[in-house]
Amino acid sequence: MTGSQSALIKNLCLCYCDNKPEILEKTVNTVSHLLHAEHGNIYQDDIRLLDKIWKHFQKYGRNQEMLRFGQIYARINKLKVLKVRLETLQFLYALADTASTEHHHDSINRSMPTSSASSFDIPSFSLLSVQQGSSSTKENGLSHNSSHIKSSTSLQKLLHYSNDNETSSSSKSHLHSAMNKINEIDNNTSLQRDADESRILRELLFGMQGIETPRLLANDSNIDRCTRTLITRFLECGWLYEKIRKIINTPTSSLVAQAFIANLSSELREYHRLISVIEQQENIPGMVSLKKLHVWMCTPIQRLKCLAAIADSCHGKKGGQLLSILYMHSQHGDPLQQSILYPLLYNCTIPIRDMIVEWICNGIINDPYQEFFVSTDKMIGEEKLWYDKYTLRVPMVPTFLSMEQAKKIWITGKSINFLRVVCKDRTMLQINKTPASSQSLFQQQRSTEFQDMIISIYNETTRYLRSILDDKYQMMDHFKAIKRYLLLGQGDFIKYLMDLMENELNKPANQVFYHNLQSLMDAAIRVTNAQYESEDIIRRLDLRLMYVSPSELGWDVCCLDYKFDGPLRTIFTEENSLRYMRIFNHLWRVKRMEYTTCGDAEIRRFHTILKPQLKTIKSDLHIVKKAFRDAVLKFLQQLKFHPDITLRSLSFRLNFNEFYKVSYTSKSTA
Amino acid sequence: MPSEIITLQLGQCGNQIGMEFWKQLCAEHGISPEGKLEPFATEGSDRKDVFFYQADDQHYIPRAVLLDLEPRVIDGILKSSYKHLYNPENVYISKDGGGAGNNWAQGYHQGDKLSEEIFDIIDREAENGDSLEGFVLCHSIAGGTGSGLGSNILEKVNDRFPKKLIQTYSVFPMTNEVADVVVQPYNSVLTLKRLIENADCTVVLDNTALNRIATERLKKATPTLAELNQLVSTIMSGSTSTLRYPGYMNNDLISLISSLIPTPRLHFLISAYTPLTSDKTESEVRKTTVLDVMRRLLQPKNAMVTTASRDKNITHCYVSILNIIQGEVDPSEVHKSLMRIRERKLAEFIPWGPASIQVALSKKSPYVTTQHRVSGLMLANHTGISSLFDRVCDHYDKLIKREAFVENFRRLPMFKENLDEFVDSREAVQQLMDEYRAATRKDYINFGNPETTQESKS
Repeated sequence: MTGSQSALIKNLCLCYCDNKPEILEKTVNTVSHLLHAEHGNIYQDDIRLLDKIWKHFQKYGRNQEMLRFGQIYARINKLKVLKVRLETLQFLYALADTASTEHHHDSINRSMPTSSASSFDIPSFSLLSVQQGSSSTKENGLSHNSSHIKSSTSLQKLLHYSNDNETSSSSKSHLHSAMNKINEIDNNTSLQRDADESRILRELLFGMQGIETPRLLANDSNIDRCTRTLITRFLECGWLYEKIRKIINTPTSSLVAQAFIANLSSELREYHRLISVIEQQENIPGMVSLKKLHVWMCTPIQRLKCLAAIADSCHGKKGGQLLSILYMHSQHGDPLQQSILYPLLYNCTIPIRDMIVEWICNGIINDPYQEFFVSTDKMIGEEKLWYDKYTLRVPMVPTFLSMEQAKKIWITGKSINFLRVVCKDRTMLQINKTPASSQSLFQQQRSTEFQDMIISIYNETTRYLRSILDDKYQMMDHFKAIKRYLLLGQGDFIKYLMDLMENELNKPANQVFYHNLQSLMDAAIRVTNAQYESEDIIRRLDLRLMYVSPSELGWDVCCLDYKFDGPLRTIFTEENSLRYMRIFNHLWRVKRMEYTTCGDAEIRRFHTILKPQLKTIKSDLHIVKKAFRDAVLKFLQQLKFHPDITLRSLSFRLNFNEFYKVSYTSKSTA
Repeated sequence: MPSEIITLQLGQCGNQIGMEFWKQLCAEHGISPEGKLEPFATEGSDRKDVFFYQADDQHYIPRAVLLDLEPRVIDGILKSSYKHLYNPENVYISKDGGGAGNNWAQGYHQGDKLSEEIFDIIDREAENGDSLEGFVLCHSIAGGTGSGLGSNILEKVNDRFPKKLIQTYSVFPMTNEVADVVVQPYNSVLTLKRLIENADCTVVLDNTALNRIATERLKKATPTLAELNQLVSTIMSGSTSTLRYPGYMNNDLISLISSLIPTPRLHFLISAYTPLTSDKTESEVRKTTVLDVMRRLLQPKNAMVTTASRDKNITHCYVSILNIIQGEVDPSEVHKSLMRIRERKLAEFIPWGPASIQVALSKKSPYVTTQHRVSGLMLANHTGISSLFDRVCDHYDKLIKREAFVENFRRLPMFKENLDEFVDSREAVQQLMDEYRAATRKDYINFGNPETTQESKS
């Protein structure tokens, strides 16, 4: 190396290093080392150099980069612009070599950003030589001209193509960073570290709002690893933001979901606000750095993550289901998550709360999107109002409501509708109508407000319904009438009826006629204590002939019936009436059996009278006696069975208070 | 329609208990001693027409026939406040007024003579009802009229109304002390034969037991006749309560009887009642649950018959039991009580049939107030009743061995030629006792069958 050369290098370095002697020295060293190495290793052809490079890759175990290098090399081969391919490669290799020997090569670059230009004059020179197509003279390369930029950008482009997935610094990325350095030299801009960060920050602010910024690619290779990780975190934020935004933008058909989305958007607004604050701060130099931003963004990111997770799991759900999911998420030990979910739950419960209040106070279902847990079937008429019209949608019951509460709510509204529609009763119940706050729904362990509201309205309504049924429709009297007539409680009536009907019912079933029996029944009513019953009950007492099947007698088909109308028809549905008739039929048969066996008692009397006079045929009589005894025994067994039924059926009926409960629960479970 | 029942009251005892019975019925149905319906009484819950009918002025007349051969007791009734209750046409006192002189044969003979007049009354009463179900006969078996005339009428009623039931409330004499009527064992045995053959059901009211109950349960040193009669009337009204307050079960006499009596001759029923109070005594108010009541009913000390639970190496047992429970009863409680009794084996039952405790729930009269929530009456068919007949027969055997006091009987046409009737009656009672004893065994079903009789007797 000649002295003039070294002086030249020195000068060049000096100009790049802003006249800082300590940097200058290092730079000069590096450059001279490079130059020296070039002289030491002159490759005659590509193959040997390539071999060297492969080995270098293998040495550091960078197989991926090796592959990529292969691709790049193929491209470079095709490139017609680059004339001094071998030299370029050689230079690059030398550079990589230096880097691997000097691990802090990057840090040097970073620590002396102002001096970077001087250390990069050599590649610029080689590029220059490429451009000019002349023999490589280092002196020529020192003169700057406009064509540098052109060539360097083309190279940058080239590298861009090949480096879409580049992630971290490596020998390859060293190569890239070298390219970038070339770029920077070409631009002739001394990018400072701060400026770099503020650029990243600005980009990040967009990225965090989910706006794609082509300039801020994660693989941007002039960003070091640590920064890159940070950026990725911020960009995750943008991804989450975008995810939530997408969910918000999906149209929904659910009040609860609308509330949910409104809540999400307000969360995002908060987020926007935060970003705008950061943006403002950023304008003041030195206020925002990546690290600071990272600290600031910690909680918002967590928040966004949580929101995104919830939004994701709630997507497409509605009504109670959505509330159940929210509630599930809110049962979390993390106070942050709790604090996020509380307003969400609060706001989302409001539509359901309003529905519940509307339903239990006025019996109206205000549910345009089918998300309330009580549903109505408009096709069902009022006669089936109680049993079929309103159904409980179990999946729509929010999990924070117990099933019992849901049922109470269901029954309360049903009762109101029953009163309004079937009983034609328009009285507004004077219930304390301060609706419970929405939070008392999902925080029942803290406040009984909601439970109290449900219970009080439920009690009030059912009490009123009961009083209406009792006072206006004499339900109790009808129950008692059923017990007396269908369950044979009115013994004298039943006995007389049986006596009267005996002849008629002994006929085959198809010869039994309703009108005959009807008149007999009327006669029985007139004579027995049934005559003291109220008009209403007697009017309802009726006979029914069941479906006749062959070889049946009148006994098998004739049943007492009790007619119901109005609201009572709802309680005593056709089905229930049939059930009663089945019981009646059974009891009626048992009773008949009793009568028939009692008829045998007359034979016995006959026997008693005759016995003394008929000693001669004693043995014959014994056969009769035995047969009779069997009959009696059977009878006794039957009788044994008898009180059992009596007791069961009576105990079912007798305790009317109990029965009320039974009937209500059975109605609710039906 | 309402299965009417005609009550025949015979003799001193019969009329006395009959009168108490009507008093009780009037109180329970809200009928004043004059037969008028009390203003507080309402229609609809009870059936008065089983035992009463209405006169033209709507006042209630009991379906009762009062018969006696001497005027004393009936005069007493006709002087009481209830004199307007009865139909005067139904009261019959023998014209000669001499009574039967405690002689069964005398009473029986009188019955033959007076039968036309008596049956005028009975026939009229019977036609009065739409569907007469049967007769209830109140009498004692010791005296002359109740036993003699009673036996006679029993036979004749059975003849005339073969399809009607006859239930008797028969008072058995005291056996544990010297009888006030010397010939009462004769009377008893002779009447028993008629009861065995002609009655469908006999509720045995043992004077001994009644006295015992009056002294033990009611704490009376010397119970008066009226108090004893009241006990009887309680039983009678209790056992008819299901007829008068129709409910789900046992609304007619036949259903009551048929469930209790498995074979025709075993128709002597014992009865028990709890809780017992008389008007004058303030008994301590006990807790009366259904189980308590049913348990007490099974205790022998509450039974109106003194029976031995064991005699001659035979363990006596129940053939059947019917409990009539009155008052506010939860039917499930009844069921539970029955289970309890079955579990604890409080009652021993016949081995040849199902153990049946039947329970009939009956309404309580709304007009009679009691301190007790629940009261219960038990009618039971118990084989131990044979011990009662045994005692009667013992006394009879002692007398007949010496042919003591037979002359009084010989004077009357029935015994003019011989005393065969005595022998017949004694045999009938013996057969009954044997049958009861046989009923405690498993092979009862073969009892009376000529081929197996020998075995079962041995």
